[in-house]
Amino acid sequence: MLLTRRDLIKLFGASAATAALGVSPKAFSASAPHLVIVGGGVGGTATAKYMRMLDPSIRITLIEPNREYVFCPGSNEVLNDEVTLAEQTVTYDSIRNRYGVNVVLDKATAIDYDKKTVRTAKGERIAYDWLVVSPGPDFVFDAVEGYSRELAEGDFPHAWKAGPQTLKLKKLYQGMRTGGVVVISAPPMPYRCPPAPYERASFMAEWLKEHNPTAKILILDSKPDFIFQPHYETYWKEKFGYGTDNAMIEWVGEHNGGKVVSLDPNTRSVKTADGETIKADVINIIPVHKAGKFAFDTGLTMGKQWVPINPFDFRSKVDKNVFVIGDTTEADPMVKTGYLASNQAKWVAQVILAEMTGKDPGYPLWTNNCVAMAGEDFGMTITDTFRYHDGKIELQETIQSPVNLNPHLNAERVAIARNWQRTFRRDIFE
Amino acid sequence: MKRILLLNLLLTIGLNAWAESDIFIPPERYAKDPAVSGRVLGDNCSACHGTRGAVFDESMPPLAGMDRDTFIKLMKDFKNEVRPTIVMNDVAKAYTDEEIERMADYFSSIPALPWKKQTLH
Repeated sequence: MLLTRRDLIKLFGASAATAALGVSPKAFSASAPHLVIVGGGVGGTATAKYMRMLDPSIRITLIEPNREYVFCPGSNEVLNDEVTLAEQTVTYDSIRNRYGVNVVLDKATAIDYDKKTVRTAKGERIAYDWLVVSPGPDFVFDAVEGYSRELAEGDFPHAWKAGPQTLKLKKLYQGMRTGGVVVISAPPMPYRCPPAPYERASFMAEWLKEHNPTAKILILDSKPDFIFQPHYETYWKEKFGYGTDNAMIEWVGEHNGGKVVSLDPNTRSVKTADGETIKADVINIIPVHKAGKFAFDTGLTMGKQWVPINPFDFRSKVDKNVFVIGDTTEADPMVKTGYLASNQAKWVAQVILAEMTGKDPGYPLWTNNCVAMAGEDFGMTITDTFRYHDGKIELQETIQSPVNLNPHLNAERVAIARNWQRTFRRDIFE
Repeated sequence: MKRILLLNLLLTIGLNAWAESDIFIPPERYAKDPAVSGRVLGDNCSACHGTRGAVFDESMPPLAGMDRDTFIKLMKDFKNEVRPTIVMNDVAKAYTDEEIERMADYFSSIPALPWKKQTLH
């Protein structure tokens, strides 16, 4: 069902309806072209909003099973009590009311490419002219033997999609015995938000230093190095005795046997690639990532781990009316971040507008100007720019903020990081 | 490839404390590609500066309605490291002067109002 002008008047009164809708009331005729979007995360919601900003008449339907969305950027700070999960939670009210998007609370399950319809769990068939698929990543639980979706929803949360598992992880590590050990298993690339495992460890350490100062955090990594490593190591040395016998945070890279290969939930222990068994009080396995389930179920992955796309316009290689964006795509050398998902979304909206009006879409450029934190007094920035050149996506620039312990600069970077978290969220959902 | 990039980088910049993993290709490499519009460029700024650059209640400065010449001067000063900043020097140096001018056209055409008060189109 589409919200009509009459529905809005009933809800808000006439002037509010006009202001809220922001689009001509005759806009959504049944014959208007129809954009259907699967997934109400950053990529899908940004597509809906920016498409509406480009065109007042196109019908837009967003299919998403959840009433609310928990914003991932900033959610590590739930762990040290700086923010609440409620503060991270947004609704689709603006998307519905101001941007005239029909938000369907349902789960997309299949695509009929010939009939151009999407089937949903409730049995609806929704016809589209263009389909944008942005389901986010899914996880390969059995890459660590013994780990499973069920364990993740129980006492071994990955907490890699902000939500109930974030709260569970917080409860577990804040409630562990004096001098307890937290193991964080960091995944191999690619995964969403590369600095986040280290940010998570830092925030946990900050809380533990005050409440459980003899506790330890052991990061077992499936990579030989990680983004912002010099920044984190500098900060950890300064704050948590990193590199000494009394270090609160210890990091073991893949080259030193850091890769976790199995979990024994009964003895609460993990085994590494070197055959070492490590017992812990809290085990946080961040799983290997893969494309979202919907992308596998609909054949969009074409037998691969990620969805192959045309690098110019993010069109699926399976069907020209289907675009795939966000963490679920194979868009090398792009990293998997919400920031990039949102910029892919804006560009795909331009491409759809061009197709609708028979005009040239122009030419893309995507930035990933992101932030991360190591503590409430230490922020970092990264500036990435991607260009389309010679038939490929090219990384033109990646520059990290310099490492230093100047408290003024680092505090300012924290202010920038927090500012970014707020404005980014508003850019997608307001 | 990486070595060429690094060489480019040393030739063109030669200052700043670069991390080992930093990469920078001068934007002139892309000068013969079709032009990226001011809107496509400008919409990349929204995560920090708000939708259409129209966040007026944060410390990040709004870009909506910014005077064209002011925008160009600021961005070129960031790009050429005349005006030191924490982030904008790195952001600005990715763009050609023509791209900066197109972004200036885009932002100067938007009313200087918070996004909530703007019309969508």
